Amino acid sequence: MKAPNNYLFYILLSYGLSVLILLLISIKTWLKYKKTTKEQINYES
Amino acid sequence: MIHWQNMISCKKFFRWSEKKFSIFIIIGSIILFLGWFAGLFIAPTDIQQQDAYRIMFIHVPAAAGGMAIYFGISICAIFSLIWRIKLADVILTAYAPLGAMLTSIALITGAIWGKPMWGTWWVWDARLTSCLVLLLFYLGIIILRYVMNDSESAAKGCALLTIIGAIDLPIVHYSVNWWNTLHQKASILALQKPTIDFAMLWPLLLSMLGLALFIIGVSFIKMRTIILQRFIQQQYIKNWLRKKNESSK
Repeated sequence: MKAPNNYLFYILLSYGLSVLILLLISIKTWLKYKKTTKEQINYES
Repeated sequence: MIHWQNMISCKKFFRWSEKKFSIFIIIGSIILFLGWFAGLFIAPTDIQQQDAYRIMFIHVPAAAGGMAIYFGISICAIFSLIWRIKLADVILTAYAPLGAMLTSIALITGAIWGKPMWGTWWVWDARLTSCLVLLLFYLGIIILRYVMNDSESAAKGCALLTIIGAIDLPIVHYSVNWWNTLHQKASILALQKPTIDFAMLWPLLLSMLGLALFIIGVSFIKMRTIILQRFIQQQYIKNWLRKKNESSK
């Protein structure tokens, strides 16, 4: 096992941005689901 | 006579998916992490591109995912347009932003890889341009849905736009064969032996599987949100909300 030792900036940039986008979209989706559920419960009651 | 349209209902999906999305997200994240770890630390260094090729372990799954989702939503668009299946429109609405996200990741990571390898972030190459067009179609579907709200005409409009955009799929796929592009030819094809070594192939396949499972999990949450918003008057939603309300007290 050997860590990449060249083009490190480009590797970190691409993985960093991708993880950030995936995390943001997932968290946003989850929060919207929670908010919608809460809103619909209030609407129903 | 069996009404097969009834078999694929929002009600069945809503009940079935309640506990499933977290399983998909957790297993998908673990496999994705393993795939990326193997791609970054176990796969051998490429003789020509050196370590820069490791960007492929995010770029290829994202690009393949972006195209696969568009193919899937095109089928759903046909189902939504011809048979008026509500779940097909729910899938289309939920997956369009996810497809746009994956296509954006593919374009961004491709640009980051292009800078050290080609000496430029972007070229108006056939593969890159057709991928950008795919992203524009995704954005068109999202915007159309947003401005027309959740009406029946929005479903029709989005389905039509999706079907028109499907013309771009074979162009994206075959662009590297039809034109003399800077982008390399496909390394993995379903009907042919892969042209990359197995030591690099397995982390790539693992990353593709992990990302696919993760996206399916997130899409389930998106679909459930859309069903909750659109079908609040349905008895099964009311029952579920009542149960949820009681359990939270």
